Amino acid sequence: MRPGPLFACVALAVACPRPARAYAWMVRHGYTTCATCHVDPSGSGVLTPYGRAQGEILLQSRYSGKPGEEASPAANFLWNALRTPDWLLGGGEVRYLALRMKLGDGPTAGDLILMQGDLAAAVHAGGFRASGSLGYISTTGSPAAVGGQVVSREHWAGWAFDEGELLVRAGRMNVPFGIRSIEHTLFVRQATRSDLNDTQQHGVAVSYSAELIRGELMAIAGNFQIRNDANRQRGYSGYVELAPVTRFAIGVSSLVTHAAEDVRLRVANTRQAHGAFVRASPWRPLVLLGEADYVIQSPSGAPSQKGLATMLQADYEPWQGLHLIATGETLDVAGAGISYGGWLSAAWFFAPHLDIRADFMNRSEVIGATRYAVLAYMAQGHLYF
Amino acid sequence: MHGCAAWLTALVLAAAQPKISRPEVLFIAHGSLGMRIEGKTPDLSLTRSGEVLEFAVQLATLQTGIELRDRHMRDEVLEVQRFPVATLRVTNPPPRAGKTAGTTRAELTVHGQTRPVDVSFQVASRGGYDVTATFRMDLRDYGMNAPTYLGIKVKPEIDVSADFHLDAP
Repeated sequence: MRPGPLFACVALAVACPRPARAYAWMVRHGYTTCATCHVDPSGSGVLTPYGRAQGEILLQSRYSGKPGEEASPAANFLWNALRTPDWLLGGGEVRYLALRMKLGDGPTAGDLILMQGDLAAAVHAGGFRASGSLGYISTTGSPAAVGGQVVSREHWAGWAFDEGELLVRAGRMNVPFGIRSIEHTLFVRQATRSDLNDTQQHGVAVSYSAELIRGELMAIAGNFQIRNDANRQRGYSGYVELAPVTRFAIGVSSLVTHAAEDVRLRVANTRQAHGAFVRASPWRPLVLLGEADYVIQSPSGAPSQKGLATMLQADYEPWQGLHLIATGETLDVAGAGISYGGWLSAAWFFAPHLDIRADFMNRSEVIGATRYAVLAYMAQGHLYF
Repeated sequence: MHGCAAWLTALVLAAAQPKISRPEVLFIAHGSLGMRIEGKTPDLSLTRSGEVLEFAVQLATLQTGIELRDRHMRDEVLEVQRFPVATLRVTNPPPRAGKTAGTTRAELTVHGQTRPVDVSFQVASRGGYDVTATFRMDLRDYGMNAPTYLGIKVKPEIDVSADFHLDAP
């Protein structure tokens, strides 16, 4: 494959619409579970009233110098311009990206991409829970598409027991596996196909969120937003995470799916991924996130591909709202050599519902049988409401 | 079960001015949906009155890591303007040597109300004595309401521990 078409592939891999926020580094504040802030108990998506308040109290830079301020009304849905009944939670996000990328010896190319433009809502009435999103993206062919460039990343309904600690739900939802982070193009997310962008699956899941342990197990029925049933993956995915002490959590994940015709390999394929992950904040401004996943693909008529995808990320927050992030990652799955990469990123949550982010990514990536140097510069603005 | 407390009491009584160092008082509150709140203060003092030991914590110094939460805790739960100090009184256990861990009955005063609590403790000799004590209290027993905030409830049972070094006399 020549670099030209490759650029499009890699650009898509790097810059596909980035999904709903999910900040695993909230562990620095002692939040090891996600269900306090998100309707999805494993994180991301529509915020609870508590989560909305934390978005201003803990996420955003504060300028008044007054300690212990309450969240302002602007933390509410649409900056408090539209009040919804208590049982209805609104939300949505817009994310726009400026990308410049250089692949191998090729020229540097750039693009402006509407990564995300989602409206979302959730219902929280007694034990009943439901959540759904509908959005528009500037690319086509997304497995989250319900038609053209209109996507629905999630839509599910369920019932919560024991004040929400136990939730049983069915519908289209994020695959429960590993660290749920917004960097959906990390090798660990790509290799396990468990990102927040567009790899959601339809199925039934049961989740549990308690102080010492949380987890979710999903029976995957396939992605019913793709037409060809043979492409649908069926199996399970799940994780269990223990939080034995404040600001530390360690977990394991497992996934096995089978598709009669894998959408990437074009043959029958059984995929497995089994791994471990850790979140730790040894010092409040610093959070370390790590994940290692052993990935096995067993395509029909071909030898199995086995290998490891890893990620280690350090998030340093010198001032509330400002994050300096360094990420290292490796991928060695196809036996053609180890791909590795490094990211340097800065994010600033500078105003209610608004943040900006810049990333520099340098990868040495094996694509097919050829190694390419991939340099990418990304700047993005993100608004949630 | 009173052996270690007695031993510790005898030790402290033998000192004209009981002195503690490296103190840390920690509480852990448990909330709904897996929330855990951890609060700390190093502000622990120890005084002797006859054969009674009294540990005191300045509640306004407790910190949970989130300033707004601290303010809610101080103003709405503990009401530190009216009740600034929590005390734990250990009274006159009979001296008996040989144990380094046990449980003793003490009196805990918080929010202006006093209730008995069972305190578990461990003592280790290390250039003086390293002491760890733990107990569980129920906010409702002391006239306090377990807080709720934007749908998240905190359970009324609170785990409390204290670690300090008791200097040798």
